[in-house]
Amino acid sequence: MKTVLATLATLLLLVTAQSHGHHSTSNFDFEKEVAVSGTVTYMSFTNPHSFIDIDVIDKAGQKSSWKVFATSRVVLQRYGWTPESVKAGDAISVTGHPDKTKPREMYLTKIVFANGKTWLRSSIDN
Amino acid sequence: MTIFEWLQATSFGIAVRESLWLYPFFEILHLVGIALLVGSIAMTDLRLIGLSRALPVTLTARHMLPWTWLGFALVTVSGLSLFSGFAVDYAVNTAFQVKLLLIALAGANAALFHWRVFRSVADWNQLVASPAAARLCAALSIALWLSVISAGRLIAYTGAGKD
Repeated sequence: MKTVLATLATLLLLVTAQSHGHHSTSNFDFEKEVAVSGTVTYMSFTNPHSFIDIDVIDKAGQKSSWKVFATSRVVLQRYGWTPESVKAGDAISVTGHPDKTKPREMYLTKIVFANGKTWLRSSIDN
Repeated sequence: MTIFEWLQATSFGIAVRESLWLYPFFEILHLVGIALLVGSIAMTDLRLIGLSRALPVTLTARHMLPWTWLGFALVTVSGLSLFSGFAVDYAVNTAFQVKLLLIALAGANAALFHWRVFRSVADWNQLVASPAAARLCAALSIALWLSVISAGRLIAYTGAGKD
């Protein structure tokens, strides 16, 4: 009885589960890379993960909004990031692994800050 | 502005997101609370199902219940704190909604056991099998609480399907 119920509940959860990960990175395609440059509109320097919203202007002059996910504030600060590293209005370039289904979301691997410094995601950090 | 937007905009909600160790602190508190809550409930349920029949059911329940309530207090305080950091996201998260529903079902099951089944405990307190209703409540309780843990863990891997 209990096994059947537990199995049913688990199956229900798996079926209803969708790919918008909150702090999982399984929704990103780590085989692919994408790079964009643009202007920061919002920096969420937070636990359990951080993200940067960027407005990107393409060659045709069209503006699109990108969301770039990164690891926790605790880990980023250990890598030397500060609340001043990325701010709204900054012009930055980012490289990352694209989301498998959402065309303008990625997981950050490399960033060129507004001050010209480059930061590369450490291989030990997931 | 919804209540969820208001909550995560409070200074406490901001601190949960932005302070270095507050979020991990509440995560740890949540885990300790889960261990106490579900651990003490599972031990009581196993006795009801028929293990360790030498232990009086009343004595087992009396020993476990204070730890169950302490665990419940810990998960509630830490859970509401974690929620306040990301109220808007959590409120529409499918796994979170399923989790709340499962907690309600587990609570109803416990209430049913306490107010109906447990009344006749004097008849099956020690060395005999519990009645079928007690065993069913106990098995259901274990299944529900394991499902609550599963749903909670899956919040990180689930969303509302919104962009």
